[in-house]
Amino acid sequence: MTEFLNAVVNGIGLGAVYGLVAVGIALLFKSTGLLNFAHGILMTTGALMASAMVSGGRSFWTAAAIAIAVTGLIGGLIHLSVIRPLATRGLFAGVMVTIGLSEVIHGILSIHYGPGQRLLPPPIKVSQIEVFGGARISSTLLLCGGVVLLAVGALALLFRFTLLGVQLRGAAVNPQLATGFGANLAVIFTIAWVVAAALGATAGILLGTLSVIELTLGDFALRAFTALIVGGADSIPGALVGGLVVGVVELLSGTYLGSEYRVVATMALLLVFLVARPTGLFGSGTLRRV
Amino acid sequence: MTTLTATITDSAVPRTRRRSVRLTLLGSGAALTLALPYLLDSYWLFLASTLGVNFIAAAALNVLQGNAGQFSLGNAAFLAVGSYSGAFLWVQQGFPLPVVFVGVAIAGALAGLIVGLPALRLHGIYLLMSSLAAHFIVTFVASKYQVANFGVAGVPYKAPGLGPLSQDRSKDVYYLIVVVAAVVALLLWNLLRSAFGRALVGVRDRDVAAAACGIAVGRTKLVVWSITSSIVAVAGLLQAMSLGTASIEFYTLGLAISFVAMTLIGGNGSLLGSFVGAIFVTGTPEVISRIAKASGASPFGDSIWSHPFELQRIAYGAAIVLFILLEPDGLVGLGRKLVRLVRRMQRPRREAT
Repeated sequence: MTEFLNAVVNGIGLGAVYGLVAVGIALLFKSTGLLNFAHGILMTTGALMASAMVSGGRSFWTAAAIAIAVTGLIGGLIHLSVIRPLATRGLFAGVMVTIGLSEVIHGILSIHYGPGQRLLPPPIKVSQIEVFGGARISSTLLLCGGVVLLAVGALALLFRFTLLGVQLRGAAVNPQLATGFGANLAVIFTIAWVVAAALGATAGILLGTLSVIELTLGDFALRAFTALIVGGADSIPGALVGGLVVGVVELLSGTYLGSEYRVVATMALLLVFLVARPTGLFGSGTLRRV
Repeated sequence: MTTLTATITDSAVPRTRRRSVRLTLLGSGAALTLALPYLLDSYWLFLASTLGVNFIAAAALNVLQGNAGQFSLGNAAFLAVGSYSGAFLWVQQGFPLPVVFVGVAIAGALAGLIVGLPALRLHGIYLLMSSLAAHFIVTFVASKYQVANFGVAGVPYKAPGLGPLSQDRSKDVYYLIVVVAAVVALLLWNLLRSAFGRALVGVRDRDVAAAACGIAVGRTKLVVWSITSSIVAVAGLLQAMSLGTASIEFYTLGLAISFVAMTLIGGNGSLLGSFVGAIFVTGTPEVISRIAKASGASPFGDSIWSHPFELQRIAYGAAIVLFILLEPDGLVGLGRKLVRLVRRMQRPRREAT
């Protein structure tokens, strides 16, 4: 029973970070209709940058803030340089351009930071905290969960109460109409990219504090795709819940089947949802079928 | 449509001459292809075999993606289906080679049918996601099979003995690949010009209208998934023969992406494009590592050429981005534009009169 509770509690903690990754992807998918395969490499970028600055003597929080801001700017630049010209070219062009971009960024990061592993020690003392029923969770994971809640809460407020949020929601439903009511799509989509990239960097830094940072850190974004579909691709709160589900499924299968089953279990979950309920738990149900 | 207009406008050149030029080109190309093993050393012959395998798999993917509009990141998985069903039929059970090829083709077709099933209901990112899930599930099953039967080092593939025709391993593999590539090219070429080929384009461009024209959209999708996956599986078998081993670390998502890159860089929906794209993706790493070697940069130095692998990745990613942005029809589209430009420069006066 403790084993089970451990898997669930830690799964929720890890899943919150997956959720944050998925929220970044969902933000762009919902507003611009683009499935961003470069999200993973933006996570890696943020984590590597922060870890290099920390080993250069900066404090964790300054390093994280700078890394998140710079990655956000990179995201904005990506949108302005290569994504905007693709606006009318459909899903596949966007997917492939972001895949191509992530190859380019991967190469640059590997040259600049070297291919080896790096560490990003968490800013608080690592200890195991006992929660209900004898389950234990590390303080780092607890901190990660807190950061995710803060970030997603801020995003929810942004969407609910700011002009930018209203315009983004409008553009998601009907871009022409939103333009007619004064939304400058070029500007708000660029801002959406900045926010998404910054969220990615945040998630990357959190994952970095949980284990080591490698160039393959961005592969966690693949789990976030499962989270995205489980939550319903066009729902931002859904993406967070989807992340929690994926985290719990991953750790349960790791506990009971063996660690080599962790990734494949999340992919099986993805397939189950695709076949049985493609609109996910919270999707709007406007999925086109033939 | 483009070939039709091209033929009409180019009628200044006698048709028979054009045809004989084409036949000469084709004939000399075929002769060169057959003579290659005697002209190249073993390294270049291996590269030529790799190119052949890449062409076979890219051509199949290009029909699925370019002509039928079904996006797939499943090519690495289908290659693994081929090499691991080959491992069972050939390495473990020792069936004769023709039986192995047929068996692998059937295994690939079945796998394609299963992965294609969600395509009956799903579009766009959902379909892409299902091929992504299939990739991880297939490679997981393959790795379990490999470790249980052969160990972590991978499946050892022996040389494909061709009986009385047999020479040495690399030549045998090369000729096998050439024959399969020719058959596949001919098959796909004719397929695209059949009623089925036009049905594919209908399904891609407007599936509801295609259904209204009496095309069974679902069946067409499943058939194209099966045919192309079966071809990719055969390519996987040939690839394992050429490499001499099938090891699970080889079948990464990056491998799947490299085939999508071949079709996009060469030309989406074009058979020639698959070939040109395969040359580009197979050749670019080679060119870059040769320049790096020639530059004399030490692998630990600060020169940009000290990082050939990273440069390969950057070049290849940049090629994908640039082609999608600037030339969606790929190298083939670029070539066509150049030909048109040259022709226009050749006969400016005749058009004026």
